[in-house]
Parts: sequence; C-alpha cells; structure tokens
Amino acid sequence: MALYNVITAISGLCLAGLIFFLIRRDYLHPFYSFWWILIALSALAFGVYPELSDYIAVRLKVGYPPVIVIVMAIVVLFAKSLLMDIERTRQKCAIRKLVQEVSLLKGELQWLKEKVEKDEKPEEF
Amino acid sequence: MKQSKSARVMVIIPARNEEETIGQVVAEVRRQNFSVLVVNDGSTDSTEAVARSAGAHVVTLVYPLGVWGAIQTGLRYAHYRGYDVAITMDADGQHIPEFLEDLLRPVEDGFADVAVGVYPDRLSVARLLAVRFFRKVAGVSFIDVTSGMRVYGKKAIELLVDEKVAGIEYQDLGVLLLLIENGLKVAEVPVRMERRVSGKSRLFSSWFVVGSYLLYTGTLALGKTRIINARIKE
Repeated sequence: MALYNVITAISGLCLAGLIFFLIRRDYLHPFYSFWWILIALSALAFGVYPELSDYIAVRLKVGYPPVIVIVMAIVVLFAKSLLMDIERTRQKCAIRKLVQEVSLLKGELQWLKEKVEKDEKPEEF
Repeated sequence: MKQSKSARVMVIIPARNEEETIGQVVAEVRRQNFSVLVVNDGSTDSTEAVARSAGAHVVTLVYPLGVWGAIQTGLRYAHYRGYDVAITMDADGQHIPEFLEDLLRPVEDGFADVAVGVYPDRLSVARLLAVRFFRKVAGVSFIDVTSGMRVYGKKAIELLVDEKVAGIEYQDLGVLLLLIENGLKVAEVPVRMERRVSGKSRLFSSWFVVGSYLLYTGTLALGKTRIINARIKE
C-alpha cells in the first residue's frame, strides 16, 4: 500500500469515525444523521479505495480523475448549504410564531395577575 | 371599546423606545373610542409604563422581532380576541388619529379588505426612491407602499396571522402583494400625516438599513411580478 493510500485511508476513517461518534452520542438529530452517514460512507470508500475516482472518471470520460471527488464535494456542500437555508427559514418562522405566542401568554398572565390582585384588595382591608 | 357599526375595532401600535410620544398617541386614539394595544418591541426606556398609564393594553415581546413581527403579534391578539378590524399606526406621532374614521370607511362599507393611509407629501427622497423602485419592479401602482397606517379587515387578519407569513420582515409591499395574491382588495385612502416628533425611522435609519431593505423587498417584488396593478379604491 502506497503512502498516499495510508493517508487517505486514515483521513476517511477519521472523518467516518467522527461522524458515527457524533451520531451515536446524539449530537446529530436522526433526520440529519442519514445525510451524514452517507458522507461518512463516501469518505470511507474514497479514503480506503482512492482508485474509485479513477474508475468513475473512466466511466464518465473525465480526463483528470481527482477532480471527480472535488466536484462531488462541492455539489454535496452546495446542496447541504441550500437545505440548511431552507431549514433555517422554516425555523425562523417557527421561532417568530413561538415568540409571539409566548409574549401574548405572558401579557395575558400579567393582566390576570393584576386582576386577581385588585379583586383581593378589599379582603385585605 | 369602539363599536363602529358592527365591527369590533382594535388599534395596534408597535413601539420601540417611543416614551416621548407613545403616551400622547395612545391618549388621542383612546379619545376616538378605540381599544389600543401597544406591542413593545424591545424598548429599553419607559415606553411600556407610559403606554400602560395612558390606558393601552401592552404586550411586551420576549424577544425583539422588528416592526412587522410586532404588528403580527398585535394581529394575532386581535384574532384571538375576536376583533373584526385591526388598525395599525406608528408610535412616533406621525399618524393623526382623527383620520382613522376615514381610513376605516372602505373596510367597514365592504369596498376593500385593507385600507392604507397615504400622504405623498411626507415621502422623503429615500422613501420616494424606494416606492418608485418597487412600483416599477412589482408592477403595482400604490402611492406609498411603506405607509404603516393601515386598516385590516377580518379576512386580512386571518391571512396575516398564518405561520407562513412569518417570513415577511416589513409591513410594506410584501404584505400588500400577499393580500392581492390571495384575492383581497386593497384601497389607498388620502390622509394627512405629521412630521416625526422624536427619534428616527427604523426603516430609513441609515443608508445601510435602506440598502438591506431595498434588497429584501426588491427580491420579494421580483418574485411576484405576475401580480397586476392593484386597484386604488379611493
């Protein structure tokens, strides 16, 4: 095994190991875990068998095989970034509604407290 | 509480650090026999206390949401409490409560679902440029899309408290386009407005804010170009 094979294998294993560790420790929601398991498996596959990019390059008639991995990484990161913004938009809507509902409830509670306090005053005298 | 014809009407005033003017604004609105809700949007001064002592019901946002977030909170309140009509106006004293009756008329008479108070003379250069830009991009003919003096009927309130609408950031063109898109009628009503007594506009506070606003609403307008000119009722 050539030195670069050892380095890519270790990198792939470390990345996959880190992702699986985070998933097992519940740092990642199962919804996002699926995506990251795919990333971990890809990192593992391309790390241990870097020749995979050569194999794919020949099939796709790409002249420079290493660029396959780079292009795939860019596409994956772009897709992930887009999905994250969609998710952030959804969360922003949910948080805004939550803040509004909590604020209304807090206001209502304060109003009720004041009402109760006023009603109790005559009994104090 | 205002029992204007059959409608139950609530005036919603979003406020952030408006202690100098909010008391007088609330008092004047209450003199017109309207219920007043002040939505305190992260004030660090005594806005809440002044508004309360002037007779308004106050809801303080647990986290500042900006003008539209505050207005939507007020609309949500009006919706839960069964109000038929909600009026929004600024806390800085620019909007004159005497014109609320005129503004209410198209909605109460059923000519429109939403009425916007417009006073072209008050438009600053920045505001004028913004309005012209939006009219061009979105293909609408509103005189002033940035006016915060508005009347929302029941259908509009129900639409605007929907969770999906939380994506809107300003009470301007985005809201109007959404209303038209959903088949609601928007009317513009001429009113007179005063100059701002204190503080500064949150929407036009700096050129950076203006830039962000133009970019945001411009993008929104571009996405809605299929919407045809809104009919101006008055």
